[in-house]
Amino acid sequence: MGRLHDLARGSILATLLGLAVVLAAAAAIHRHLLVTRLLEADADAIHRDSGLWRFAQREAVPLYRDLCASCHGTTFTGDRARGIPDLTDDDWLYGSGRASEIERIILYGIRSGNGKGWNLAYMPAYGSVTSRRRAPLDPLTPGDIRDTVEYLRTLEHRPANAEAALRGREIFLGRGGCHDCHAPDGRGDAAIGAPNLADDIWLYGDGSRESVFDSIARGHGGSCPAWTRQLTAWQARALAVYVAAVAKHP
Amino acid sequence: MTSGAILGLLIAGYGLFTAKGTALRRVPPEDAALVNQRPILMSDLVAQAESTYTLPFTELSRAQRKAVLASMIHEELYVQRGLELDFPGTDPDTRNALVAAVEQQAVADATTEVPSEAALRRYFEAHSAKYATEGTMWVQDLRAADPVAAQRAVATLRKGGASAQAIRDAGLTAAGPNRGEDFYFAAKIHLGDALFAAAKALADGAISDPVALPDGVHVLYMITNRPPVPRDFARAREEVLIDYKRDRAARLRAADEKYLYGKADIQIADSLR
Repeated sequence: MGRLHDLARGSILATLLGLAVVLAAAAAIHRHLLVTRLLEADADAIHRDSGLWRFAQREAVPLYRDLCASCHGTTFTGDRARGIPDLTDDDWLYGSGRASEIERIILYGIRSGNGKGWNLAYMPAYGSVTSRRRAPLDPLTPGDIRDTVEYLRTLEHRPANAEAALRGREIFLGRGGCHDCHAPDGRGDAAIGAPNLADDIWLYGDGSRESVFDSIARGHGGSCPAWTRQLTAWQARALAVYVAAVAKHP
Repeated sequence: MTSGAILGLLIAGYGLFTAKGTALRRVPPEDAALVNQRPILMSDLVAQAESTYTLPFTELSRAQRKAVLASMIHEELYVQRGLELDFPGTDPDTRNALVAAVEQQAVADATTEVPSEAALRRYFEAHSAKYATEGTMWVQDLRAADPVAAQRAVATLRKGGASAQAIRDAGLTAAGPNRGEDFYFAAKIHLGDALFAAAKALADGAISDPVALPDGVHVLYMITNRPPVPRDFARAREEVLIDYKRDRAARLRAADEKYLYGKADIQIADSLR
């Protein structure tokens, strides 16, 4: 009787174990299939597939918390004191906010040292002798920078000193070389990460004369790391899809 | 039992002598192609295709996508062939590119690290002078005929003010163009070290003591002087972070170098030791 009892218990345990293995295997296969679908899908269309989107979101939330939130914040709104972009304003320095573009930034970074990253653009420090170090740009005097600031205010349709703005326009379109990155109309170039100077969205500071002067004089060159060695391809994809969705629906 | 052991040994032996490594027979979902098992990433294909045709990838035709993929496969094949031909050992351009890429890897590693606020603050405090605002000054550099005339001019201007007429009446002439307001670094270049040192100490409206230089005796009239002002950590943080990471990258490169040299077997010809 005792032996029968042991046999029965053993069978039940073996069955439960077997069931657990089967369930675990099924879950692993299901997950693998989701990962495969995530990678094979068009990154920019994943948000239309509710199952895939839920999977991406579920995987991305802890990744964002662990890797991105320290800079972009838990509310995705960045930090203008540090030049960290707001991810919720749908205003993009690079590209147009598509998940595939965000994916590349996550993988290869911005001024990250990775050869595939966005490494081209940086803001020279015009109030410094080092402005010539990377590009043939002569430093500007404090007066030149103030004039340029006035010109930029006219692009934003804000009150400005007209005479100074005229001088600033010549600098912007001429020896300052500003137009080369920010475009002659000041609206920037998302192909190289040059911000739009004609809107009221600021990456640094608050758009005051002082903060714009500071930006021109001291330059900028923030960076976003290349996570290609820390993240798998599907993790980067999930994170990109998630961030793209947050931007459109903060 | 013996036959089982022999069978096991036979299987192991077969595996050992015919092993080719794990080969994928299906392209992984994150890749666009495998070239001799080396992946071409789908994300790279998307970026390359969009860059080539300046259209979103989804709007490209199959032919366009295949054309870009073909060019990437071509590149991969030739890279692999270059490795087989030992171009890193012989071709200067390849070698330069490899050196740059390896050095850049240290930058990538440094960029990925997120330093703590405490570490950044320590760095800032150790280098705080560097993060002050750039001072500005507007100074007139004047020259006197001789040291006696310079002393007389300085006394006159200090007593009666330094209008343009007074300067002329004191017998002083401009030693250089009136550049208006300059950043300190520019003023130092324009004035030279000795005159800049004298200028830095002047308040608005002040006249310097005569400064004798090889080209004559100079007197400085300071119109406005705005010395550098220390910035607080919050305002300087971005630059602190950039410098911190640059220093970190330099240390990583130095560590890489030490490691490479340490494990390398480098032998130098007698005549060059």
